[in-house]
Parts: sequence; C-alpha cells; structure tokens
Amino acid sequence: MPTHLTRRDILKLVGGSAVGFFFTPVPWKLLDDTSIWTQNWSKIPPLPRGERTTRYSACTLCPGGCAVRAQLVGPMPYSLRGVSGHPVSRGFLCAVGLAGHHMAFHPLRLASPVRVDGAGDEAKVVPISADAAMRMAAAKIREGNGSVALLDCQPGRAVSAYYEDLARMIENGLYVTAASREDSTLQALRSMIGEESAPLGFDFENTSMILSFGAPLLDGWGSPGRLERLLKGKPDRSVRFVQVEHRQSRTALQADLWVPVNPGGERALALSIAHVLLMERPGRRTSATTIADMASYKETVARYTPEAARAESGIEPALVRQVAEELSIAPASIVLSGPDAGGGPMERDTEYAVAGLNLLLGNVGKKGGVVFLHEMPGTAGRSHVVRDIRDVPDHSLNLLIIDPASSGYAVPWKSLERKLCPGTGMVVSLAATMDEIAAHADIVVPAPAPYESLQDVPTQTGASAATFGLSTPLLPADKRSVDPASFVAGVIRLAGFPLPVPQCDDLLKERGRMIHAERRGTIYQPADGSTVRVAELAQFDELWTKLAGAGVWVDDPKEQHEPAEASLGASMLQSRGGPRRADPGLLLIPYGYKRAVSGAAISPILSKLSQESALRPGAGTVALHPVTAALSGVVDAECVLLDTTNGTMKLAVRIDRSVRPGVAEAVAGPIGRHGADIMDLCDVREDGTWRMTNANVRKA
Amino acid sequence: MDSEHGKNARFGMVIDLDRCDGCGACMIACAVENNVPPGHASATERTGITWMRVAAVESGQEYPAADVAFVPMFCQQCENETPCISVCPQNAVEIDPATGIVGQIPQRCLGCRYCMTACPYHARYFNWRDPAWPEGMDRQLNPDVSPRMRGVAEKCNFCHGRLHAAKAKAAAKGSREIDPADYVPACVESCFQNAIVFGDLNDHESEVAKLARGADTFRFLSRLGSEPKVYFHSTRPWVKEMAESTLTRSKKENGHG
Amino acid sequence: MDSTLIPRGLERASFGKFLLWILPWAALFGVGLYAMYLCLADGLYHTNMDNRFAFGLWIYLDLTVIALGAGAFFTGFLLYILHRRELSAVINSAVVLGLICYSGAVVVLMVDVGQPLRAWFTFWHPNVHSMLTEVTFCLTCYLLVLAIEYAPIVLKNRRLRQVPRFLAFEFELHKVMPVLAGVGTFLSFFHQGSLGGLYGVLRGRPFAFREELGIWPSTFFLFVVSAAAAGPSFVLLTTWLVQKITRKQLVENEVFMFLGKVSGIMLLVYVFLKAVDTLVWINSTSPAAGFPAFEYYARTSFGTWILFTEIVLLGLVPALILVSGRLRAKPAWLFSAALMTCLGIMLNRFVMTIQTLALPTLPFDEFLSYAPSWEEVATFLAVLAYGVLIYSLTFRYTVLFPQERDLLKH
Repeated sequence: MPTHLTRRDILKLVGGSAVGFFFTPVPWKLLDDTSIWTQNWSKIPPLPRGERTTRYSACTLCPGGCAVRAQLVGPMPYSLRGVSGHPVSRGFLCAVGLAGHHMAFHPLRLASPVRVDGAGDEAKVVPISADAAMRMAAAKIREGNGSVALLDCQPGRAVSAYYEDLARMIENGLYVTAASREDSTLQALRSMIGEESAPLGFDFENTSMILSFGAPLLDGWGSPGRLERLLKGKPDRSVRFVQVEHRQSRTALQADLWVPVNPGGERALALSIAHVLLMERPGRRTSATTIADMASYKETVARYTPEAARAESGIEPALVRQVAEELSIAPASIVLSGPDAGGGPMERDTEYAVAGLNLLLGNVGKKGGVVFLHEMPGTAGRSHVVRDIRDVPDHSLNLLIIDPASSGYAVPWKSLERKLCPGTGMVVSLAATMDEIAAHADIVVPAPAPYESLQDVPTQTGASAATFGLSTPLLPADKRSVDPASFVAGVIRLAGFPLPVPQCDDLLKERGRMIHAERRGTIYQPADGSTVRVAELAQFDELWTKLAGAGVWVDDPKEQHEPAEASLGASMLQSRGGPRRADPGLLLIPYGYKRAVSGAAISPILSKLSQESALRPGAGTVALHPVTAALSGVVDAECVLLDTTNGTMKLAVRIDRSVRPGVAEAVAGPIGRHGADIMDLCDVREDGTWRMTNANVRKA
Repeated sequence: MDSEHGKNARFGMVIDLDRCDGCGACMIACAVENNVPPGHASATERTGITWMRVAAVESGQEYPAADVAFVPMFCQQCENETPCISVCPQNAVEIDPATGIVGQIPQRCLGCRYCMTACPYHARYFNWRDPAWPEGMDRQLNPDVSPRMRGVAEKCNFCHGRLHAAKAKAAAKGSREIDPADYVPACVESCFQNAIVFGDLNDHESEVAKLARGADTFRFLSRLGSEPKVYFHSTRPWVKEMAESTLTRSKKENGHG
Repeated sequence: MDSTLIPRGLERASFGKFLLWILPWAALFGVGLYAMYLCLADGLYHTNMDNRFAFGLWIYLDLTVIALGAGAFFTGFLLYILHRRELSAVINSAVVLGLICYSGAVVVLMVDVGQPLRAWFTFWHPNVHSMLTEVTFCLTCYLLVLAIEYAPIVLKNRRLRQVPRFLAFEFELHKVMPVLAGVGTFLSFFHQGSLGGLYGVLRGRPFAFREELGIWPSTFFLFVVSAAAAGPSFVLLTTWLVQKITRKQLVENEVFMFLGKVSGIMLLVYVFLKAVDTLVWINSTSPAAGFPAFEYYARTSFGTWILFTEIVLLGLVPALILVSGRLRAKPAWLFSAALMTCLGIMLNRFVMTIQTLALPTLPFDEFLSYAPSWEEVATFLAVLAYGVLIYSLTFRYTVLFPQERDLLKH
C-alpha cells in the first residue's frame, strides 16, 4: 500500500479515467445529443400555429387588381393564389403578387412619418409626427408661391375622385396622374372624338386583330389575366396579334408577328400604315364618322409613303403594306400604343398617330374595337381627361403630394424634380415603404401596406365594362400608418380650406351606394363563384356584404354607336419634322417589368428572379449586341462605364444577341437598395419622355 | 404495380416549353410554399436557393430573329439509379416507392454535397448560411413545411406538404387513394399558362401520362439513363435540337466570339 | 534546453534555431484555425464554393494528400509483406507522412461538411452503395492503424523509453507490425480506390463517369495504382527535402534509387491502364451518355493539353526516367522525375475534382470557374503547416531515419 501519491499515480489515474470514459454511456450520449441539437437548429424560426382559414381579397400592388385567394394560419396569410373563374383577373396572379402579403414586413417599411434632410448619400432621415408633416405641407400651400399638385399614380379609385375634388378646392390646385399611362390611346381618342368625359375601353374579346405599338400587353398591361388568357398559346388563339416594338420584349416574343421598328420610329410607321390605308386602298374605309381635319391629315400622311418612312421606321415597305392590308380586311381591329414599364411613355404625337388609325379603320364605337362604357356610377360629369404630370409647366409646383399606390410604371425622379419651384418646391410622398421616389421626397408619410386596409380596385385600363371590387384586409392594421385621404384632407384643412375629413372606407361605401342606385351590372363572389344581378339586391347592405367578401361588380355593356364627327389631331402630327434621332452613336434604352421598376418595393423573395437566377436581369447590367460590344471593345460580364450627358455609371455588360445592334438596354430601377438608377442617366425631354438617350460605353 | 398499400403512383410532370413565357410565378410560388428564404444581399445565381429555376435559353440567332425558350429546371425525379440517392453516405436521400418522389431528409444530411456534384440537372441547393426572413415575414411561413438549417442540401420534392395534406384529406374520408385535384404542386397551381401538367404517370389515362407518351415530348439528358419523370414538350425544332444536344455553346460564350 | 529529449547520437539544431523554424508555421497554422472557426461557427458561405461548384479546394486537397500519403501503406506493404529490408530506412518517415496526410484530410473534411456533428451517422446509418461511405469507413480505420503505427516511433523517444511499460508495449507493437501493415494495405486499397470511385460513379457527370469493372468503376483501380506510384515518390521527395533543409545525409542513396524504381514501375503500369481507360472512355463510355468526349476539351482553359500533360508529360516521361537504371542513378533526374510523378498525380486529382465540376452538363449550362476564398486557402495552408510541425517535432525528438546515426559516424 503506497503511503503517498506519486506523479505517476496521478498520471495513471488520468490515463485510466480517459480510457474508462469511453466505456461509459457519457460520450455516446453526448454524441447523440449534439446531433439532436443540430436537428433542432435554433436559428430557424418556429412554424406558425393556429387555425387555418381561407379568405378572399384583391392585389393592389398595381392597378391590375388581380383577385386573390389567401390561406391564413391564425391572423397571418401564408399563401396567395389567383381566383380562377374571376370575371376580371381570370385566375391570374403574377410573381410579384404571389408574394404581396410580404409587403407589410418589407425591410424598408416606414415606421413613422419622416423628414428627409439633404439628398443622395448624405440624406438624413428624421422621424416626425404626422401632425408636423401636415403642418409643413400646409405651410407650403399657404405660401401661395406656385401651384399645388396631387399626383395620383393609380387613378380611377374612389379616393381619386376625392383628390380631384380637393385639388379643385384650392387655388392653383392640380390633380395629375403619372406620365406613363396605359390608356394613352383612349386618352387621345377621347379628345379626337370631342367627348372628353366618355369612358372608353377595348373590346379585345370580340376583335380579330390587335396592333400594338409597344404596349406591354403580355407583361402586366391592364388586367393581365384578360390579355394573357386571350393572347397566349400562339397556335390556338383566334386573334391576330401584331406587336410593334424596338425591343424583343416578352410581349414581342409572344406575338404572331413582331415588327422590330427603329427606336422612335413608331410614329412614322403608324403614319405610313395610314398612308397605305388612305392613299393606296382608299375604298376600304367603312366608318360612318366624319373626319373634320381629313384634308390636313392627308397632307401630312402623303409624305409618309412606306418607302419614305422606311428611313425613320426601319421597316420594309412590303411589311408595312402587309400589316395595313391585314388591318383593312380584319372584321374588327384594335390599334393601341403604350408606355414601357421602364422606358416610359411615347411622344404625344406618336400616341395620336397610333390612336388615329382606329378612326381611319372605323374601330371606334364598334364591337371588337374601341367601345364606349357606361359611366362609373357617381362619376358622371367628371372629366376623364386628366392632365398627366408631363403637361404641368416646369418649375411651377411649390408642393407635390404623391399617392404612390403604384401604377406599376417607372416615374423617373428627374421628371418630377423639374416640375418643382427651384429651391422651394416640396415633395410629400405617401408610401408604405421607403422606395425610390420616397427616398427623394422631403416628407414621407407611411401609408398602409397592401392587405392592411380596405382598398378599392377600380376599372382596369381597357376594360370593356366598368368594374368595382374591394381589396379586403388580410393583415391586422398597422397603427403606425396614416390613411392617405385623411392626410391630404388634413393638410388642405390646415392650409385654411374648411372641409370634412372622410375615411377611405366612407368613400368606398359611397361608391357602393351609387352602384346600388344605378341597379346595373352583376356581382361575382369568389368564395362560391356565384354571380348575382345588382337589380336583385333590394338593400344596399346586401350589395356591400357581397363586395366586402372581395366580390366584384361588373357593369353591363353599353350599346355602341360610331361617333358622328372626329378629328385626327392633324395639327399635332404636323409639328415634328424628320426623324427624331440624328446621332448615329449608341442609344441607351431603359426598360422595365411592370410593377418591379423604379425602386417600387417588392417582396424580398423576388430576389429569386433577378439576383438568384438570370430569369429577369436586374438593374446594374447593360445588355449589348455582340457587334455593339465589339465596337466598344467590351466583353461579357465586364464592368463598363456608361456615359451620357447626364453622367456616368458603372454597369456590368451582358452580351445578348437578341438586343438590337447599336442599343444599350438597361433595366430601370435602383442598383442595390439605395443605388443610382439608370434613369438618372436618361434625358427627360421637354415632352416628358425619356425612352432613348445618346450614350457611350467604355471599359472601366 | 400493386403493393400491399394499394396502387403505387409515379408522379411526374410534362412542361410545355411553348407555353412557358418566363414570368417566374412558379419560382416565387415555390419559394413561398416551401419556406425558402429570400436571398441574402450577397446571394448570386450560384449560391441562392431556387428549387424551381427558369432558365432563358436562346436560339443563338441574331436580332430580330432571336428566339427564347424558357426552361423550368428543378429536380427531375430520376427513377433509375437515381444519381443523388446512391451517392449519399447516410441515406438522407430516398425515393418513396409509393409515389416515385425523390425526397431529401435534412435532419439526416451532413452537408457533404456529394449529391450536388452527382446531379446533372443542378437541381440541388445547399444552405450556405442560416435561413433568414425579415422580421414579421417569419410569421408568414407555410405551417406545413419545415425550414432547413444551415449546412444541408435541399431540393424540389413536388411539394410534399401538399401531398401530406392530400393524404390526410383522403384518410379523413376513409380512402387510401388521394384525389388528384387535392394534390397540385405550387408551381403547377401558379402557372397561368397551364404550361405544367402534373399527375401520375402510372395512370395511363391521366393527362400527364398521355402527354409524356405524345409526340414532341422529350427529357433533358435522357441518354444518361437516369429515367427522369419530368418531361418537356415543344414543337419548335430548335428547342428540340437544343434539348438533344450537349454542351451547346451558351450565349455568354458566343458573346466571347 | 530540450537536449534530454533529443535521441542519443543525433545532432540537432539549437532550440532557438528550431523555434525560429517552427514559429512561422505555427502562425500559419493559427490563421488556418481561425478560418476553420469562421466556417464552422458561421457557415460555409465563407468559402467560394457554390451550388454548382459544390466541391472545391478542400476536396481537391483531400484527394491529393491521400494519394501522396499512400507512401505509408505501400512502403509498409513492401517492407513487411514483401520483405524489402532496405525500406526500413524510410518506413518511419513514411508512416509520419501518412499520418499527417490522413489526419489533415479528415480535419479538412470535417470543416467542409455543413453539419460535422452528424458525420457519425455514416457509421450508424450507412448507405452501403455510396463510395463516400466506403471512403469514410476505410479512412477512419486506416487513421487508427496509422496512429498505432506512429506510436512506436514516439515511444522510442529517449525519455519515454525510461518507462518500462512503454518499452514493453513498443516491443509488442513491433511484433504486430506486419499484421498492421497487412490491414493498412487492405484498408488503403479500398479507400484509395473508393476515392477514385467517388467520381467514377457519377452517372450524371459524363466527364468523370467510367465503366464498371466488377462492382467498381475503373477509376477505383486507377486511383489505387496511381497512389502506389505517387506514395514512394513523395517519400523520396520529402526525405530528400529534409536532407537539404537539415544539411545531413539521412538515408543511403540506394534507398532513394529503390523508391524511385518502385514508383517508376507503378507509374508505368498506371500510365498504361490510364491510357487504355481514356481510350475506352473517349470511344465508348462518354459518347454512350450523349457526350462526344472532344467537346470537353473545346474550352479555352481546359484543352487537350491537359490530357497530354497528365498522361505523357507528367506520366510516361517520369515513368521512363524512373525505370531506367542509368537515369535513376543521377540524382537530378531521379528527383525531377519523382517531382513530376507527384505533380502528375496532383494534376489527375485536379482534373477529377475541378474540371469535372467546371464542365456543363445541361445543354444550356455555362462553363464555370471557381477561385477559392481566403478561408479555403488558409485552411489548406494550415494542413501544410500542421504537416511541417508534426514532421519537424517527430524528426527532432525521435529516430525518424534509423540510418542517420550510422551515416553520421562515417
């Protein structure tokens, strides 16, 4: 028996314990437990629990207003899908809409009204109270220095009518819409037929040919489901669909015939089609409408033989004659132009040249053409010719309030900035998230995010009958957000114009009452797919209950008549001489995808489409044809500098054979979260267009 | 093929490439359905997770003759010597004989990524970092699908959450057979063009089986012999040629001249 | 300072000088440990691997060091099984190199996998069809064998020999060495082979996929033979390098020549088999999968030159040098050829891991490139530093080269 412990004894004990340890369950249990720990990973969120319910609503991310069937767990929607059988959206819900319920939790969501001091990278965001925001805006109105404009990016809503009334109340008050308007052709036609308040639509369902000048008909135009249903599936569709566009857009790809016009050559092409219709086959015109300015129109058109127009349009005369021939023999046709989601509107004379073809072809007031709608109840007498912001004189606005319920189309900051009184003009944006325009504003007031408040879904562009639906809340209301209508009313009241402040819900109910009073149309209910005539609903409450279940009211069609007299806007067409673009250099052409442009906030999950895959190239890249790239000495994926007279930007090159030679195509939108936007490089012209800019590409 | 649990199914898809317009709704519907987190600010085409990924494949012609085919690519559910199953060292990938669906079991995966190198369709994705949702969005997760932890592989499983729901519904009615209308993967449901037809390939009367047998239907990399259960359809000659070809020089490389 | 630890009769540098040599390597090792920590604690996004390039520098490192570490099993096999006594001069060194390579590979693998705490599932729920299961089993077992083989080298240390039980244990271990060598050879045969099989079974990667011979793809056997060729060359090279660094002769020149000869013969066999395999692959396997083999080499970065370099320049050429007794006798030729052999095998492992993943499979795929992140490189270098540290310590405190003492006397 040892009397004292030696070092060796301790070593032996330690060694023996170490060996013995492995014969106990401890290490094996630990091994097992650590893997169980990895299987219950603490960094993944727990799944929500609660009752599963299904509710219906409508997407308000763009004016498309697609109906939505939502699945909820407890109070939270977790899955959205379209509602098949819906008379307006026909089951459609786009990629952005599928994640619309995320918007309330967008990382850029505003928590309170803010004041933005400074601009660009030095901008400082200071939280202020809603009252302070109202007082600051009201002070601008009281200054009386310049005009006050309410920019409504989603006109036609019940609140739009209210805004229009408010703008009328104040001296120098203007109610304006964004420059990119899908209804530009209808706008032009209204003034051509001299019925400024006539609601018009396109009877796509009954037409036999659609000739579109750049309208993104298959990339979110109007009520997307309507055109997607009608125009997709090339072999079996009944409509002949011709797309005139300088880019091979998704719409151009799906068209029966794509006419790859020169950028800016749409007007010449439209006029050369008119030339063929009028001069080469004059007997074909069947319209009963008298054209007041036919003589001067003919004078203009005479110069646009397909051969002469070719320099400007870039289109072979034979193809022009073919399209004109097809139009003239089509039993019914529709000709329209449209803005690009990122490239913006076309020049006003182009819009008129295109719209006029409908009158030449006798499409107006006819089945399968441009049709007259009944007035939306409660809007009688209201002008449909709303000024768009490009008609507002530069440097004239002292206060610009933007209700950015998005139009889905780009609004370049520069196009707004130039309208402001230099130095004093203030911009107030009513936005749910700090998107690109909001970041430029002086004051941002948080509006409710989609599905947080009751909203209306007005008639979509081109609809052949008026519609009215409700986007019912799917999410609990956010106490931090401010109702836009109450805010605007509050500002105007503070400025010294006494008026009652209504809630948005009251405005909606008011419109509902009007619809009930007219007793026209039907109401569709998504929950059971049933349809009921308004005339059968004795009480207003019955109608309201149906609407509140995300039902949609669809008006009855109106009896059509051709307008007796019209003008073709000949005076407007004469104004421009020669092709717009003389410089043979590189042309920068911005483009965009509806809704996902101009920094409009979209769910972060949409990174899958642009950042995590190459499906939709994101902002920050410039696409060049290989020949163009070779001329500039740049190669694929290389970083290049793009110069215009407005500045220089660093972009990554994407070589793409489907891009037009001589053109640099770039996606509109901020590069990175608060980055510069390619539209900052674009020339915003006097006429409010920005679709092409001379540029230069060089190695970085 | 009958088993003791009733008839075995072989779920598969036929995708009409002439209908797909590359809108990307399937990609988003898939990510939302399967609790795939939004990409991290640094995520790229190669590190992001997109169980369903639509590739824009170009014909290689010049403007304005260029044409594009949008090819949705995801787990092709190979059934013969499934490349990812045989390589997994710890049985974290399994094929369900009752459905023919190749499933990934994240709790067993050690993250060696051998399956990812084995998959010729690049349909497998790795969680390079912990999944993260903006605050609040984590309360909007699909309660039927577990999010995956960092360090494991994942991929399309034809929406197994929906399959389970359909099975539960059938069981509640006392039936073993699920109603095909109850089991529709999210991508199929979200496709407005009806470009994706889903169903049981063993059911010879089903639309998917008829289409799979039909003309102009093909599979990618069919000569590898892995017998994928996802078919593609196109009447465009160049698309068919492209699908048959190998190592077609991509647009990017064409750009290099 | 540590003179009581240094084996009797050997000359070693002063402790200060040794410390100077050790410190930079220790620092490099430290940086690598930090990089490993980042990857383990924070996630593998610290690497430049991605979903398409799911294997990178680390897997390349594993394949390469295990091929180079093959000297341990092959030298043991020649010495204990075939009784080539002359190899007893380098067997200790070969065992240390093997241990370093294998343990380094296992450590890197543990960093490489996303959930290392679950790695033992492979033992508990193994998929017996997976090459990786075979690799894991054999690698772990062989690492144990190497550790046991390493034990007597350590136990021969002057101080440790003072413990009688260690002496007895060491003596017992020596008796089982031939058994261990046999087991080691058996295990090595399988894991070297299954590492080759790892890529050879990839049906979905026609560039790597090979016909099956029995239950294994041809790469299984190619890897075994190529490792047997590279192992002796690597032992030869490292020994020569240690001689240069320590400015001492450690083994007799005949040993170098013998190692070179063995390496040369194995390499010749390998080059022949590889050539046959490549021809079968080009003419039958790859086209049958729909991939004409020449298309793999239509890329600017990886042209046919890579195939030529691998088989001829770094295969046939060193093999011929090494089997020629006249050329082998000239040190410059011998060591250059050994270096070329090692480089050839390293290139082969590069082609298998990196080129396989860079090549497209789907018709609309792109050719991919990959460059490791600093964390990957640091981890890679840490294995190198770890190797130098273990080797230096073993060299200083144990008798790594039994001939050293005798050569010193002359």
